Amino acid sequence: MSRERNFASPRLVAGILVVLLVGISLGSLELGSTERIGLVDTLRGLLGWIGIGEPLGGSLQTIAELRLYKLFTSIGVGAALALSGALFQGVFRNQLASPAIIGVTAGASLGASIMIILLSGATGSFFLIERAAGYAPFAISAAAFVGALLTTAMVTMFATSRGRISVPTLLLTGIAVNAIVGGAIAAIQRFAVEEADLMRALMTWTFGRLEDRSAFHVATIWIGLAATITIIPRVANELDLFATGEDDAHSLGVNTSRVKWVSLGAGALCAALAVSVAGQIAFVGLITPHILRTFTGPSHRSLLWLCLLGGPVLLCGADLAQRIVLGHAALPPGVIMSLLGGPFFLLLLMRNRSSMEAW
Amino acid sequence: MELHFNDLVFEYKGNTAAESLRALRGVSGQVRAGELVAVIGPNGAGKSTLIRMLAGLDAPASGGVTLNGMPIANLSHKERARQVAVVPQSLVTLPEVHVDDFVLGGRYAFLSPWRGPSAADRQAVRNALQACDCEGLEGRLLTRLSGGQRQRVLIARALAQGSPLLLVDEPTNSLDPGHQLAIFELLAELAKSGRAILVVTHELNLASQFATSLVLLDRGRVACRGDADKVLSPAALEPIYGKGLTFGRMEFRGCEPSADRPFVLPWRSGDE
Repeated sequence: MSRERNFASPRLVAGILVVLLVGISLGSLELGSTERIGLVDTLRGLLGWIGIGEPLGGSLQTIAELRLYKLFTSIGVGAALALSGALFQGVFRNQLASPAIIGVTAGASLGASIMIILLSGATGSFFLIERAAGYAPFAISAAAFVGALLTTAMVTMFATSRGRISVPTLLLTGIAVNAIVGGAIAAIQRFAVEEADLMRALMTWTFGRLEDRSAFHVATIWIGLAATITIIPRVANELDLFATGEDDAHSLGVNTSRVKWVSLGAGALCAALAVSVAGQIAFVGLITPHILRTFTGPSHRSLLWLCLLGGPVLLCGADLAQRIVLGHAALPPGVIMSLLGGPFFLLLLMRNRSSMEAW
Repeated sequence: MELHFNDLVFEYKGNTAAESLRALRGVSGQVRAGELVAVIGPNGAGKSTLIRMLAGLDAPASGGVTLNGMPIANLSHKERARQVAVVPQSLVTLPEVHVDDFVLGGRYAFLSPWRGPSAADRQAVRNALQACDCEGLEGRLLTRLSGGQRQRVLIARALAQGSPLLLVDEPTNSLDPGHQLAIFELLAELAKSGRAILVVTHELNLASQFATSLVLLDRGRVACRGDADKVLSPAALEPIYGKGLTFGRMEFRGCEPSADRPFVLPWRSGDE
């Protein structure tokens, strides 16, 4: 039977993404911000890390371990952001939706900013660096997570009437709450502008950060991701039917309010965890589902799973590419994703203008 | 299969009592297997609200809807979808999917989240497409179909749902006369094969030819109900649509034996 548009097989795309991810991972372990570690040494470091072999000599083992933490955090964060983006786009029936829209990103930043200020102490001595370097990352991540969930809950509450979420109201409320939270963050930055250390800590958060991650960050993002993956089979068919409108999905037998709550909740959780371990990283959630859809079509039954591979390939790939080009001058992930992702997204929009209108 | 709705009241709530709108003020009726009931009435009469209520999309403020004696509100989402299929007037957005995948959406109530569609589901899709004269459209994109083809595909998806009751909302909107006739012939055929169909329409003459009974709604109430001769009469329609109508009768050959049916034209004939 001839088909008007042929999409690639999801299995084939998954296979290609796995190969890419393995290659990018090995490259990322070899190339870092400091010295180069050969592939064999990297693998020995990995074995040493899990306690099977002898650790590498000197500082090499520490460097290899830091790169492993960074890699696993990046993979988790990329997957979480992409999955979250796909879930939001499915519920909102809009390819321009992303976790940022309902305030997840802004809320996380506000939470983190407040915690950074609290930790800094009143005297101006920078508590985070001088007195509690080991403890601060947990507190900041936790504050970011709470900030993300509180903002999302607030936006959702405003948009809910008699147990039903209205999608247009949700989008508008998100814009308003984002503006308020953005103002609050700016106010905090204004307060901190005289303090160089404080400003640097706030900015680091805004740029995103995948360096210096620990087992805590890896565990946080992977546990959250594992929990979210379990809902994929429960919402994939349903989100496909959402494409023609909620009323239509309802008449086909979909419990639309359950699907909305579960998808938005899981998407917000994923994004909140990602932001809380790696700061703000734009565009992964927006672009990954978009690119995958052009290959495998709009079905969420493949899209949601493929996002778990596509997100990491995009995030780790962009980071590795800029390390090869820029070397030690490499930029933070949030910045590189915006600089690479933004223009790329514009290009996609230009190319697909007509089909976007049909969506 | 019997759908009963009893004394349905529904109000669109506004901020004040004056802004609230009583869309239905006590509407009752029924549809049985083999019947094609046409609901007609002016814009704002409550026709679409009635469909939403019967489809379980909105709950009535008072009154109830029962399916074979069972309140529809007691059914789970999937159970309801296996009993009642809705053919919407239009879709909010058209996804870029192939026709067969779209029609497969009608099988949702039969699918398990853990496995894909079965051979029976695929067969149901083929049968539904065939019944709606949509063979050959399987591999086409929904976005590239003509209005008439899209309407047929929407009906096919409702048939794939396997429900004995179809609620059809203004199926001939923006279709040319040939396609309008074809859609109503299809609905009449489906009713004859044992389905219960309630169709909301502005096409009085198509309702006259094909409906087994008509319900005339006005401002949330049933103004008149019965066969075409009774409902499509000056006495019933002029108080609602005004005096600009011309009434007549003509032989209808779509039934055995052929019979005279009334027709109504929006035509000022000047003898008011």
